[in-house]
Amino acid sequence: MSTVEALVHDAISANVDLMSGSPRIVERVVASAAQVRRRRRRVRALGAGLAATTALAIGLAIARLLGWHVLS
Amino acid sequence: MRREAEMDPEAELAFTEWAAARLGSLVRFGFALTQSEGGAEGLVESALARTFLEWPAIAGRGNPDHYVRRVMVNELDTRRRHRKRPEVSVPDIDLTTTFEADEAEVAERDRIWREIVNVAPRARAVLVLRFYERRSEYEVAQLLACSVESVRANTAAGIATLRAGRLLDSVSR
Repeated sequence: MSTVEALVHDAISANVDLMSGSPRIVERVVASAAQVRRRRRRVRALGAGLAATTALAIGLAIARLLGWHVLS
Repeated sequence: MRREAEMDPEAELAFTEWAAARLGSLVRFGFALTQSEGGAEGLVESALARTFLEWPAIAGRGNPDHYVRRVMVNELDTRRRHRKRPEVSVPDIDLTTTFEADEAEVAERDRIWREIVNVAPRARAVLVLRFYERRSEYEVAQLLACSVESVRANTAAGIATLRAGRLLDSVSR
């Protein structure tokens, strides 16, 4: 190992090696990701509903233009 | 529209076990990058959150350790670009781990540690991965999704910054 490499390693190691991190980080990640996932699912459902309604409205408009009286 | 994969309880458990096992090394990596305990934990948390959301795909590709570190480095890079510089609080050297070293060595380590934060985020990440985690150039290139030449260039740039710091130190004395 070169001197620079060894120096940088020792410098980082002396300050970093004792760090471990709180196990609560993982719990927080799982909890917040579950929230994100629920929110995304809700947005997707709303988007799908909106797309379906729009498609239906367009379909009805086209049918009307063609003289098909679908709803009457 | 890309749909995220739904996660079954088994995959969630696998993620939790994987994350708990890697937490220490990820926080150490984060601390080496940010030199701040809060900054390190925040970086790890946001990287793990992204990893968790894509977990089935990432686990399927085989190397989540690389992925999560890459996310951390990119996040650090983004923060710098948005000028949200990580909070830098340089802790005192833990003398219990260095009591055998002589004063000059301790001072040199301290100087390098303080100087590392001035190295550009990507080069800093390369220095940490290469010299602290002792990964090969090839592995670092894989991890950061870049070429081996880029790893070499970043290593050289990082060392140059550290050397410049030393020159400035000696000039200012």
